[in-house]
Amino acid sequence: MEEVLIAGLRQGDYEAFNQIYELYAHKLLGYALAHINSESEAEDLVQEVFISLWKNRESIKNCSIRSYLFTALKKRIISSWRATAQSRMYADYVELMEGNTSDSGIPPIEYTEFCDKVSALINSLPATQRTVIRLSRFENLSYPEIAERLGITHQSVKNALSKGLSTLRKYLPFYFILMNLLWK
Amino acid sequence: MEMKDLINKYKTGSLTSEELVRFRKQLDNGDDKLITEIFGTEDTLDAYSCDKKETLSKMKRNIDQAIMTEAYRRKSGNTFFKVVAAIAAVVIPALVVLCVYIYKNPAETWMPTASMCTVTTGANEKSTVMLPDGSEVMMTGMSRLSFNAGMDSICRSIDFSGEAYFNISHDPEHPFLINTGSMIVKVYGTSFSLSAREGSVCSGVMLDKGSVEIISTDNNRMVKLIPGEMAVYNKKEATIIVKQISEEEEESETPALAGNADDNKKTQTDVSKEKPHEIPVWAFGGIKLNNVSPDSLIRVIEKTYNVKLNAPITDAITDDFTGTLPDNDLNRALYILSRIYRFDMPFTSKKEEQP
Repeated sequence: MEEVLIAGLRQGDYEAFNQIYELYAHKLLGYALAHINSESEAEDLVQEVFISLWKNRESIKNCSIRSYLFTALKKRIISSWRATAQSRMYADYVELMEGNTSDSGIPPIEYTEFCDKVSALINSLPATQRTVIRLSRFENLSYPEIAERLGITHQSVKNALSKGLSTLRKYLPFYFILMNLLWK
Repeated sequence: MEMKDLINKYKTGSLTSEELVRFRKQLDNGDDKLITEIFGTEDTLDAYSCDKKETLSKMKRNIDQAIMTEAYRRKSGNTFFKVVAAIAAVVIPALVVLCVYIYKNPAETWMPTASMCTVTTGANEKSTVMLPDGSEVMMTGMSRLSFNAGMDSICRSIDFSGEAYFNISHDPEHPFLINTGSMIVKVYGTSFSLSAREGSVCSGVMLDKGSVEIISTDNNRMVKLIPGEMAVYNKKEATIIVKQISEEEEESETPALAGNADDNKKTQTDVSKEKPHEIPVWAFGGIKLNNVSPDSLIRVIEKTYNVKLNAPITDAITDDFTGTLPDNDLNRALYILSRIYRFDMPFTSKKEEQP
């Protein structure tokens, strides 16, 4: 069965590709969701795996499709972990969660939710602080890169970031407490 | 297993800052064996499933769209590349060959050379020259015409001295320039006679049809002729006089078109006394003369046949002459004159002086 699908896939038979999707997509998505916290990111990774399967269909030889799909997904999950762990935003998240004791009243939240809340809070900041934080936390740019992009001095970037982040640190816990109270 | 713990903490969002640092390090080290242990083999896939049909359908639509877009992009990209490659395949070797050719052959050997083509006529010789632009020049004796070998119908210019009848092909956008040294005749397509002998005081243009401009190179004075007009350019005084050809025929004091080197001593008044129709109208065959003084008649014959007329003939010619003489048969010309001026033919011509 799988051999027929591989042969069809290698010849560019899109129907064979559809059948492979039917066979493996739900498994790969289940696996990705088990290893990635963000649902949308898990979906993206599985989509990427199938797109790469179609692109590389001619080079898939006698190895099983299952093996190809699993290896491809595994690599993408590790890349995703690495990108998240390296980001400043995640460091901020860890910092917030670290200070989160039972007394503070801040409910444990997932990283994706944290990102959404930060994003919403950032929108309320003054323009420069907002831009600097977005470039620093979401696009992971360094101070000199931000300074160059915005045409401002290195020190201005530092000041704006410091002010913006202190505002976020000040309001984020309250924000989450408030959310928690409303939720209850 | 530390990595497993770190991953679990990462998933639940309970990493400390210190653990995050260790987690980063572990990920960067990328130990395949370790990762395989964490993820298990491909068979572990069977343990997982997500049956959200809506999500799976949405994902499939995204995948289809991405693949189709990529396929389209690649196809159009390929077509573009193929066209560019086909053009490059033709153009690049040609450029390489050209570059090598230019490199091997310095500019002077491959560029159109500025060498001049020159046509000269002997004393009793006539020549018709067809120029590269289609213009025709009927040259009389002792004339010289030179033009650039690269002359074409756009860049039309010649250097000329002597006497000739010009039939210039019509091209209002690209004037034909005749440089005689002291004056430039600018022509857009016409027929006219030009006399510009080296050493002569005066040069002249008699316009047959069309129009010409005559520009003095000494003072940039310019006159424009219309058919039936003639212009006489005096090199000494750098003056251009325009007259009606019909008037000229009646007035005896009009300037001559051609004067010999011997005339240099003459003042303009002297020159003016000469008859204009000393210019032979070669284009019509024969030398047409109208009320020409005896001296002028003798000079025209001597110049045309490059001979020296002696006393018996010169003494016999005492009156003005009107008529046409052959320009290629001295004996016949002298025979005509002998009948008019009543001199004896056998004693008039010296064989050794004939060319």
